[in-house]
Amino acid sequence: MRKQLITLTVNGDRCEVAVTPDMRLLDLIRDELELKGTKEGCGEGECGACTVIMNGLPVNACLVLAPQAAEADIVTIEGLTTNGTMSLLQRQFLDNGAVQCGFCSPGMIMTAKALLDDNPAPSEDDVRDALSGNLCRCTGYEKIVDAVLVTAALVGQGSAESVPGEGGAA
Amino acid sequence: MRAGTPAIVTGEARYSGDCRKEGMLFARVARSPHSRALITAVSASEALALPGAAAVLIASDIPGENLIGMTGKKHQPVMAETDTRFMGEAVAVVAAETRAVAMEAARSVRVEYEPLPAVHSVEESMAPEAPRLGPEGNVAWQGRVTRGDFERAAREADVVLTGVYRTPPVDHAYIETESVLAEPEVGGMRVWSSSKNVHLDQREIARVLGWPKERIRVTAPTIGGNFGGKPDLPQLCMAALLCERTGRPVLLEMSREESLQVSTKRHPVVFHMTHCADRRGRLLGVKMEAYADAGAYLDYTVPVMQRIVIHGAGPYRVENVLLEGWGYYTNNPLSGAMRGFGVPQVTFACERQMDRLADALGLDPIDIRIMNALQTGDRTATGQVLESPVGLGEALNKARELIPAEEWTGSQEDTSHTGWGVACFHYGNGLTAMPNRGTAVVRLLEGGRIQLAIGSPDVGQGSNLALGQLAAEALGLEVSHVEVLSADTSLTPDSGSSSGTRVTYVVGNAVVSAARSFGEELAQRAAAVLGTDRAALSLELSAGRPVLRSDNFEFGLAELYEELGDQERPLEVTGTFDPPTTSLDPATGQGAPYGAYTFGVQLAKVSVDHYTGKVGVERIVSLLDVGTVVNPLLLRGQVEGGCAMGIGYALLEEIELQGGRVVNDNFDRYLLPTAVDVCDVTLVIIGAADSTGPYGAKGIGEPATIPTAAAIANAVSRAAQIDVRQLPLSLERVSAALAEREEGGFR
Ligand code: FES
Ligand code: FES
Repeated sequence: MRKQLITLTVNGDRCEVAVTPDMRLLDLIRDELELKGTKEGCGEGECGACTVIMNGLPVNACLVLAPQAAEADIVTIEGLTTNGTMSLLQRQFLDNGAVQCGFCSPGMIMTAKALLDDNPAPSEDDVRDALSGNLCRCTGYEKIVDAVLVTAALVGQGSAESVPGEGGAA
Repeated sequence: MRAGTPAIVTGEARYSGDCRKEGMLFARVARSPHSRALITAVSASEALALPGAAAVLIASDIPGENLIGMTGKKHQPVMAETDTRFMGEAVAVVAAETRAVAMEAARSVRVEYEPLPAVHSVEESMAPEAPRLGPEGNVAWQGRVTRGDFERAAREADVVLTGVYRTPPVDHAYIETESVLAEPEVGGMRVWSSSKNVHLDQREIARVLGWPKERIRVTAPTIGGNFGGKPDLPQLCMAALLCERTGRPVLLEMSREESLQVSTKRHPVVFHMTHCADRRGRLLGVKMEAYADAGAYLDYTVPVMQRIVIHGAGPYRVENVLLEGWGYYTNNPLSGAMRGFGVPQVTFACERQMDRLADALGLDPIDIRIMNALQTGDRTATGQVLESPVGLGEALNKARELIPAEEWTGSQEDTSHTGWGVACFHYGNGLTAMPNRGTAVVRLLEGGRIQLAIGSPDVGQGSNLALGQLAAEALGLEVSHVEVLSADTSLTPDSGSSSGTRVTYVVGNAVVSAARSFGEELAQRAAAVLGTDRAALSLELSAGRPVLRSDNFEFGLAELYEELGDQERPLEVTGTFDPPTTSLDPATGQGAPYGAYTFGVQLAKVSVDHYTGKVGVERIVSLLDVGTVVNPLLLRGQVEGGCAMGIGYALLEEIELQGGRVVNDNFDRYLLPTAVDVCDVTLVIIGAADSTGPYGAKGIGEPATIPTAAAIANAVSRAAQIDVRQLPLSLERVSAALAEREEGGFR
């Protein structure tokens, strides 16, 4: 199939990628850019494991075609860690027991980040609604909702944007 | 103390589908489009001719045995050779340079089939004219537990209550589908499998390849959920076969559609129950006939059915039981192990019976359970005496206190009814009525590091952390001083599977024993090195660092390691534990199948929309006797996750089969609970330390989900005054029952 070159920004880096018309943004991220933190759970927009932030909005990367991402600004889970320091949201997922097998976690965290970027003081219902497109089979969601609410509260109290990670990104 | 590792939230954790290797091929399975058919011809030439296709394998290419199984009984082929028995069964597997070519090649494998009449239900399988599906006919398993004289109890009873209950097939629906990576290694092969038992994987691959198992190393990477489901053994072996054939790394993935079609399901079961009681509500006898759809091959049907008959009378004191079960082969997808091993099913049937019995006698549902609950010293249905403390009665009394009487009765609003329901359960920890040794190794490594090695994988539930805590406790150290390594056949001992709620109880006991001996060994070695008396030394923390201390000096573990001779390194100690169980009498099912039982009570508050039939779960209270709690955060995680899975089982989930095809083969139609479907879970810990568990602990993995659907079904029945006999409580089913009630059809 004919390939076309597109440029886009991923986690702050400009990149140029040769894509086919039927390639999904998910494949571009996982296979071309080797960013394996973004997961695939259903391939049809139902599980949210592939959630990334595209131009400020959460999208299911399995539903976006790569050519549609030309010139887009994409943030993946890898983009939340800077110099080995994980974001407050990631830390709260760990500290609140919001992670079991963790397969849903990158997508959950990206959805939660998009919510908090848009609405820094969400109610519990806001959080549940925002997360309702992300499936988790392990945790029963309660701890995930807690993690997001605690993050919002800490940010609201003016707590540091991020805290040192424990061997976060290499 | 936190669960999970930073790598998971940073996106660095590697699951098997994330691994990429130099020269890696992508594989894809060619699957049968028929539920039952003869294979008359297979041609791979067209597929092989595709540019980029590397290999196509069919059953006759298998160098070893084409026979696999999750238990001792090997019954299923890796790939069908002469006939296919369920839709989606593997017939061929291809490897290619890219995913796209692999898919096309799989489609290009030409298979000629001669379709045969297929069997899609237990009823059809039982029929005299049914085609013969299994090696010994259509009964995959049959067995019973019997004690006392049920017929006499029935004659003498004041009330005899019968009921038929049905439970659906459901999927594990881990968010990570099954993926396997196999790569050549010097002298053998390395396989990455998101499995609950890497040592079993190793044995199965070895038999299929015809290799000694030592040539195969199986490692579990980070596992994206399991719940009894992974590995898919045919997939595991096909990846290994392709790796052997091509000499290249091979990644074999599954789409969600494939996973829902071919992976094993929770057994669908039909229960015929008869409960006999006296006027006061005392249970005199319980009779059960359980008929389960085993699917096309045996897989886990034997242990699941054993569990069903053993737990068939519920956690109650009943002198007279006749609990029988049958598993029937069909041409549906295989039924296998799923969180609870049949007990969520039987709990639904038993607990609906208990509520109906209470209604029939005008008793309160909690009172009737208190009256009959198993207590310390009682005998179970298999005649096992419960010697460890049983917290069930206490849990029921506590349940009564927690819910104010006026709330308990429920309320009828204009548009909805609300009410509470209760369900009790018990669950034997570990494998059923057989030796199931847990093994753990503790080692001293360079730099004085202490490593705990166990074969049983952490499937996401946090077992590495819980076992590390037990080891630290036994050593008198902090959990941060114990490095935990699990699920690698080269580096960890065979500790058995992470299933059957055996990790905390069985493996945990082995860990404590290994850690204690390790502490002793350290002291003895140090004494020998230092030329001092063993009794003068103890393992302690000094400035946050483990040391061997005497009155006047400290000896660090790093120093000890350095002082040890080469032959003594790594210093390592093995601990084992096999729960005290007996086999069951083949005629009566009497015996002691488990070393410990987890007990519990769950309360669920629901609202039922009068018009739409929509059920909302508003609150769950889970009262658990899990012995000593090892890690409160992990426990809570198991309970909340288990409740969510139970909510799905109660209200949403059902694999819909049409002629053996899974119609709802993705999450648009196979609905899982989301963040808006779950509710607050109150956790109440009851009971005392178990006398055989590690520091008195018992398991929670499966019990977490067992009573939820039953409690919800009872709550819906009470709130809406309908009589639930079948799961799930879908909108259609509940609204139909409400309509029938309006027409005066209730009871
Ligand atoms: S993989 Fe994209 S939503 Fe499931
Ligand atoms: S933690 Fe396993 S799917 Fe969410």
